[in-house]
Amino acid sequence: MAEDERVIVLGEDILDPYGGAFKVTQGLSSQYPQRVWATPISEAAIIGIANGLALRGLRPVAEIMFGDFITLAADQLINHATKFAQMYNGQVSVPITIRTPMGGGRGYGPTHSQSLEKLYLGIPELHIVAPSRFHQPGHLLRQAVLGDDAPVLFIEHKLLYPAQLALPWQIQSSEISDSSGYPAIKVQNASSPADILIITYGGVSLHLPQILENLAQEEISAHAYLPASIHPLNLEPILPTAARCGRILIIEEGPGNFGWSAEAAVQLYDALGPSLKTPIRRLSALPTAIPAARHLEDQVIITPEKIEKTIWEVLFA
Amino acid sequence: MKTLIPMPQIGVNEDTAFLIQWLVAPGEPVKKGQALCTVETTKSVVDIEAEQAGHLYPLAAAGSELPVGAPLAVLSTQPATANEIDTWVQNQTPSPNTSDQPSPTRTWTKKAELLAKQHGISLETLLTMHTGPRLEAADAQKLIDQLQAATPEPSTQSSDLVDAPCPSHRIQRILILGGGDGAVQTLDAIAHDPKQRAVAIVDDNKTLWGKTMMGVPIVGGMAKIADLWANHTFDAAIIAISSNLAVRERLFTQWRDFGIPFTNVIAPNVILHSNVSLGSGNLIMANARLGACTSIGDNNFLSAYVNIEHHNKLGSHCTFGPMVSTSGRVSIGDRVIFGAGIFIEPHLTIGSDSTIASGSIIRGNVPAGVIVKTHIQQSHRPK
Repeated sequence: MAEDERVIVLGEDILDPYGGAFKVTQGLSSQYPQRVWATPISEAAIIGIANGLALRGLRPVAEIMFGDFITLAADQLINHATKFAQMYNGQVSVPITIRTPMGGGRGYGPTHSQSLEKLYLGIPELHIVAPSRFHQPGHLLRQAVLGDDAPVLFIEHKLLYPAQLALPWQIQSSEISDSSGYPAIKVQNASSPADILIITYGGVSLHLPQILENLAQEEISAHAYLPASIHPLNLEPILPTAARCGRILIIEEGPGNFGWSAEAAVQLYDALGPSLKTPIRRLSALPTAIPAARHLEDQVIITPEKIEKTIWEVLFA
Repeated sequence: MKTLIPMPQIGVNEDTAFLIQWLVAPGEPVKKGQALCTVETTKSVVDIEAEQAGHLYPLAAAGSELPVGAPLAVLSTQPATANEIDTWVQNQTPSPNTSDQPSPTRTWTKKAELLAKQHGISLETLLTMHTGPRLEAADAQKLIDQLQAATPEPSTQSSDLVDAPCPSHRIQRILILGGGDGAVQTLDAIAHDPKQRAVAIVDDNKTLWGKTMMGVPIVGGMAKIADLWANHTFDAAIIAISSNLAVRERLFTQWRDFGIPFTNVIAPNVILHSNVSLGSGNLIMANARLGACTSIGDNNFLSAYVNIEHHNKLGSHCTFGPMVSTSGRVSIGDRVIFGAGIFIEPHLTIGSDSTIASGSIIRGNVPAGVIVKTHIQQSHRPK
């Protein structure tokens, strides 16, 4: 906001002293009183207003309080924001960034715990970005707001909000630049060739440091690839590792049927063909509503125990 | 009687809370319902109350952040010494959960177990042979090597009853990728080279499977390559497809990354002048000529009578029709398609991904990604 006065932030309950349901905007309205706007409880209106602001040359950042509510903004996003640039022959652009928290693990129940980015994957001209535990979230957000002229759906996982950026353990992490402007991250627990390659994004990454450490105890070299741009999805940079390793696990927090992991798997099958040692394995949530009780929620969503169990199955398949 | 007071779960979002202050001095008697301490979460500040009367013995210091369920204090019906409280607490605290740690009874790493499985050797055999605290990957590999050195190679290692796999003195056994006309040219070139021998052809066209081409069997599709390699059926591969450059490049990259070595197939009457350098996977047909100090990348297909003059630089994945002739110091990118009968003047650059039509005479630089057309009209009239 300091760099570019065209940036406007709008959403529900984002003003001080409350500062937003997850406190992401805390302090912002005191610093920029004219540029942080509280809106009525209408997600369609929030995105509609953001579209209008963007068409008139501003760079709005809209907050949807829970990702589950993005359904209410579907028409403004799908039929308007992503269409204008092509409908008007490139004379306009709609550089809006929609920030929204997704994911479970907090006992918030069926309508506040989902990973609904899945519904928006595949919408042409819509960029979907999800920081992981290993990304610099600020760099990605800056690129979305100031560097990307397309509409961006920016997925923030609830469990990542309090996570510390410093890595607790010796993990090698490298940034892999991407033509989208949103770098991917590759992490590995050993410099030896991968015994297994894990591909995932967003909040699932929270579990990886501990899992990679457990695998290192067992001398298993595990590499993980975490794209920030989950749509469009570019797996090109990881293909050599994938071909040499031949054992791949793709993890997606939401239900995987018709999902991101399916798309990733097909891209890999097309590119790798027979160099796979075992069929690509997918791990995702059960296709059912997410319970509020924590022990039942754990049965439905991804947990570190499920990830580790699946890793052993892939290694010994 | 003593009771443990744990840190309560105050909000559904909170896995920890801050202990702000104690409201009662250690050892002091408290009544049921009396406030004992103040605890703060990100949303609220609350008092923890005594569920029954007794003497309070705090276990945590004010100002500390504690996980939900962590011991806060002991409430004792009788006054107690610090030692008594400590001993009692230690007996209450469950032993730490070690299920996440590597099992202390397991004497091998999972990687060692994996290596045993991959070599078809039972883990028990390795554990019996191993002396030491824990069987690790390096130990396992050493033992596996010992076992395999002692046991003759199983017959599945090679499908050939005579040849040992890959001895350096023997002629190179070649797998040909693609069973079309390119394969015929390749087989013909190999037939004249005493140091190479074609052993199998793979092609995804199922109608070819089980047939032979110039005596060499077409054994299956591209998916079979990994098996053939694992069984030591061939020493190196060559791609005999010239019609589709994208397929040619994809096959080369994919299988090279997999670890398959590619060879060059060069017809015996090709002339290679001094200091020519070649990558791998190149097919060079009869009567071609490569001038001095020319360098060639990987996976190119040069038809008969192609003349690449001295000091040329050629990239990778290009195809040449017959009778293409370059002059000195020409530089050519990757994935360039040349028709037949093309002449190229010296010192020119031809960009990647371009296509040059047959019969062209190239007199200036060609940028990347273009099609060069030459208008030579062919007409017919009655004699």
